[in-house]
Amino acid sequence: MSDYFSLMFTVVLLSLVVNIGIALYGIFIKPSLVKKFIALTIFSDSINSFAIALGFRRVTGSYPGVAVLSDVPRGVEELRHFSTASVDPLPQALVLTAIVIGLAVYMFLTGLIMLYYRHYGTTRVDAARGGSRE
Amino acid sequence: MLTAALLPLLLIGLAFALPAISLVVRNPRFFRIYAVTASLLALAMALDVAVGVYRTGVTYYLFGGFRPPLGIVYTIDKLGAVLGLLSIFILAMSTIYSTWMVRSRWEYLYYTALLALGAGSVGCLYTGDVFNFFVMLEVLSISAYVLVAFYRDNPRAVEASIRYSMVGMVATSFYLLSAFVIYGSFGTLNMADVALKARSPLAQIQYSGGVFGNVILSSALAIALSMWTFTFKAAIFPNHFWLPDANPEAPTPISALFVAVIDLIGAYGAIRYLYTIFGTGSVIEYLRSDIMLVLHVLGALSALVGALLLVVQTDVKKFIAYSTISHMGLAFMAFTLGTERGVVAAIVQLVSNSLSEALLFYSAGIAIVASGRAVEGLSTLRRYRLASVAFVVGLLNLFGVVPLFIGFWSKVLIFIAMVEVGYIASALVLVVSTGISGLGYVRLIRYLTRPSGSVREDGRLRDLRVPYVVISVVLLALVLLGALFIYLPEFRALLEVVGTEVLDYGKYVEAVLGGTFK
Repeated sequence: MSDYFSLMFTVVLLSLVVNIGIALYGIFIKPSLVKKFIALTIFSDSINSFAIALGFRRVTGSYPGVAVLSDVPRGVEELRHFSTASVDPLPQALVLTAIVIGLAVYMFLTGLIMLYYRHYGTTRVDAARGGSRE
Repeated sequence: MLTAALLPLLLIGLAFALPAISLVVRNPRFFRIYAVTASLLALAMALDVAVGVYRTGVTYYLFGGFRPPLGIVYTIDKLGAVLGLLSIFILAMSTIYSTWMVRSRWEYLYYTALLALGAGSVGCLYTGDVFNFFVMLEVLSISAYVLVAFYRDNPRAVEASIRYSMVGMVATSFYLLSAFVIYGSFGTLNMADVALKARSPLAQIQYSGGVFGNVILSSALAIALSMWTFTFKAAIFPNHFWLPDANPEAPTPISALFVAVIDLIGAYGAIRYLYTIFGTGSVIEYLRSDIMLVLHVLGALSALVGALLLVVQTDVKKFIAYSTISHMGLAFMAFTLGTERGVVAAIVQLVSNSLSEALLFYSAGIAIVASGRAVEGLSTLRRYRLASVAFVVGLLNLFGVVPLFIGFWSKVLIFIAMVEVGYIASALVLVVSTGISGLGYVRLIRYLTRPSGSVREDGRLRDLRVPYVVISVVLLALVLLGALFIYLPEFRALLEVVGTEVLDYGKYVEAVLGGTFK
């Protein structure tokens, strides 16, 4: 059970790294601004998921707990168990901030891409340099 | 120190109150006065912070009163204070200049973005938190994207802004990733705490297993990722491509701000990471010299590439942008030497470069209004004597062969610092890039002596009091800095203290964490 779990965890982490690579390819190679934009969202979502995975705690035998102390801890032992068995909430707070900031940039970029489309009649980046490189 | 914490918050608050105010007030004159007042207030506060930091040493402010390493803390050392004063000074000058230059229906949005840009910049310089640095970096970047695309009817501005914001988003995301890596490895985001834990194995805690459990590997990863962001922000060679695109398409006052507000943050971040956080004695010390060498070579390349490309530019704004790349390269070459003298030289170089590029943009702005962005249009500056004098002074300062100006002394300092550590090839690069860019500067001065062409009919040219005031203040600052540097040993000592403090990470750590362990 535990081996299977850690294998899956590694697979998830590795796939996030691959995801980042694919997204970077999309951002720099794809000629369409919309596709670049989608790749950009995939890129930052991968980084954010990576951060969530960072706060995850692997607990043998059960699921990780919530990082909330609902009762007054009865002793050091319980407090220690709490700190090792519950998910770290800080990366989630950081990711929340990063998502909000990302949203602002995405809104702005969508507006810009619309303006670009109005100017050039296409969303291909090579339009501005006159003629397409098919 | 409360002023330090209030400064970015005040700028942000005043900036985002503007769109709300615009629902009630429609008069553009109100927005101009509002923005100028806000930026002058910010300047006074930045001055107060700088004086305070010089009096008492590293100061800090705890947000919400949480003891570090919990909570967000602002830590201001002399480096941050000096650069913060510089960036807010140029911000104030650009705001005043904008009241003359920028005419648009969307003026309130322009000032919103302008004030937010200043807040982001000064927030980056004052913050003592790795993640807060990211937030402020994004505030700075988003305002910069908006301002580049401000003339949205111009397709080139839209295109430049798209390119800038896409790559900029990737760059800042890399910084975010590096912040996560630091958190995963050290279990803290406080810069002073990371600096302590990166040095003392006693302070380290096994925060997480796997890749992050290896402090050395993850520190190297964090450095690699964040250096990508910093070289992007500072427009260093492989990541320099956005500056000549984005900078010229922005309104001229914003172009003047780019060096002092955006490129500065790249250099500052690199210094902070390579000296304070992962400096001497840290776990990756043996890698640090290699990283410094790579950055040094990149700086040399961008000094040469910038100098070579500026010679052939036919657009004034592009010309100044390439000059920026060349000079930022020199600043990077200076502080990657790893010596105190190198850091001081880099700071003097940043100050001199920011002031003279701003001066060039302010005086060229008059020519741009009068005849457009082509270099030939500079001949119209002959009609505006103060602007042409300022333009020549700015160019000579950048050229750095006249010992009257600070630009000469910054190059001398860099040269001495290079020779001191035996980097003769780098000193040669400095001389060669100065020589090549000199060709460009002399060519520009020659355009100024040509007979003046016809001038566009533009209402703004009738009343030049505002730009003249801005130009004379910046010109005075530039000349005064040179004079102070030559005649006052105390002034030089003030600058050297900054370098000493950068190398002495202990003070930074102690100021923040000292109270916790008492």
